[in-house]
Amino acid sequence: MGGLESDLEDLYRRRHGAFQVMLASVTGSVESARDVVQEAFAQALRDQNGFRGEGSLEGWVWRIAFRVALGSKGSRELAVDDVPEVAFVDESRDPTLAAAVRELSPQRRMAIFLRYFADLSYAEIGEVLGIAEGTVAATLSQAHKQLGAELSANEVMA
Amino acid sequence: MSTYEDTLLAARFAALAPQPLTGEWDEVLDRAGAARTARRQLKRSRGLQGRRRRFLVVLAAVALVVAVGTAAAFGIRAFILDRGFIGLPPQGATPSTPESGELVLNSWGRPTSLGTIRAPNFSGPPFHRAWVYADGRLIWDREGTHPFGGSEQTTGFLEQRLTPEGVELLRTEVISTGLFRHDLALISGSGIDWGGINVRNGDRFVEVIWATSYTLGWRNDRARFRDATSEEASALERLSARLTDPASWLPASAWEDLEIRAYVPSRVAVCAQGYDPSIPPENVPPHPEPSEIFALLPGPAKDLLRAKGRRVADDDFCVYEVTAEDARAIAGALDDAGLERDDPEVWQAYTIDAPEPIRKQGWNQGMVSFLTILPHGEVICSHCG
Repeated sequence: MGGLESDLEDLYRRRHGAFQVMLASVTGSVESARDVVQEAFAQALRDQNGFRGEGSLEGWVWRIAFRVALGSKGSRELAVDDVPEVAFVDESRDPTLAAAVRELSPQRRMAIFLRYFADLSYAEIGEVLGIAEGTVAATLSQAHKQLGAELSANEVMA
Repeated sequence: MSTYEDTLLAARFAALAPQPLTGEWDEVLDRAGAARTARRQLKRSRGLQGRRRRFLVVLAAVALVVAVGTAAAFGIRAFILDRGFIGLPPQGATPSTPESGELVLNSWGRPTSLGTIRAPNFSGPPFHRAWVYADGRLIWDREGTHPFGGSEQTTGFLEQRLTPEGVELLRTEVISTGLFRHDLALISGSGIDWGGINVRNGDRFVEVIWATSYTLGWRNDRARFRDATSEEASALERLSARLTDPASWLPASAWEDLEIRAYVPSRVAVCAQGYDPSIPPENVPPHPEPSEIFALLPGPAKDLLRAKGRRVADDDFCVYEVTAEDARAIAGALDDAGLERDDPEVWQAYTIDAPEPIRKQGWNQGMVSFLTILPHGEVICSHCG
């Protein structure tokens, strides 16, 4: 087994759960997300030359995974600057937070999901979204501020 | 937001996170390995190019077998092909409807029930594949000569229509074996028999694959196979035979239209990769980027592809989708430019000499091919197993 293949296996074993949780917010169910994760890692194995070592291995696999997830939803055209739409699989468990998250712009929402569901660092979020680490920090800061305001207002009223 | 609020938010997200399912690295390897194997087989079929096999005059055959029907709802004359074709659909052929479909069942393999074919480099059961859709379509193809075939090498993709009852009967026939509760890989049968069935069971697909101890040696995922029990082996043999010939056992009520006709896709994938039949499968270098090959095309073909092609993101080689009509126009531009056709008995593909940057990657030629897109979106090559 080659080095990259071994690294991919290690990444899969450590992180397939996080991939599933995050991608379920794109595909709508954890079952379809599992299928996306399996296919994304299979694609990564098949196309190991596509990883040129310019970023982290995990960032590269995340980008493949989002392409596969969008493909599974029928969105076969994916522009470079597209940000996948994400949503909670079961909003009924925290409708206030779900409503606040829905008010975020797609990029802020995605950054928040990558932070809390995928547990990615700022640098890794930047790789996935194709933006600088500093921009990630600013995006997350704005998203936190907006969420804080939305949640305070709604939860005070409730 | 303070660290305290950040922690609270993280906890609320954690409470909303769905429970992940188990992950199977072997399944990932299997998926990756299946595609690698398919590509190697694709290369092998392309490697036959040098052998001058007798070629049926496919276009003439297609012209002879055209039937004209009437689409009653619109009073439009439908142009139906009552046998398979190779490559792009002929001008005016009525596409299969609806354009997209929900896959219910897919089977593939070389079942011994189909007897033996003899090809220049192979003797054994023909490779047979079938796809069943919720809308009733049964699409299939088979290697070798066949009364409805598009060439001596393959039928091309054929279509029949089941009723909803027929679809459910087929699905139930598979599920009722009790083998499809979860994915299985079994050692079963004899000789070169091997295959697989992927079926929707509830809200998920379950796949059972099998191989003989002989064919297992070709697989890089053989560690996941176990011996089939005698009951499992006979159930697989029976299923495999039934799925390759459903007309032999399904009742008349299962068929909306038993008549065999060509499956005519609405859209076609345009694919590009390196080509050199002299490279042994075990030494295939990484393929050039498809864009490097497309850049070699003659101007009119390149312009048409840019103007009409819809870029797709999730395939290594097949990066454009076009309508069948646009594909014919692009292929026409390649013909006009004098590009050489690769084996026209099995598919529609063109070779083009590679310039130095691509030669340095190990490829003397590039290849552009037009592949069928099935209703569930899978890009598929006739005769590629």
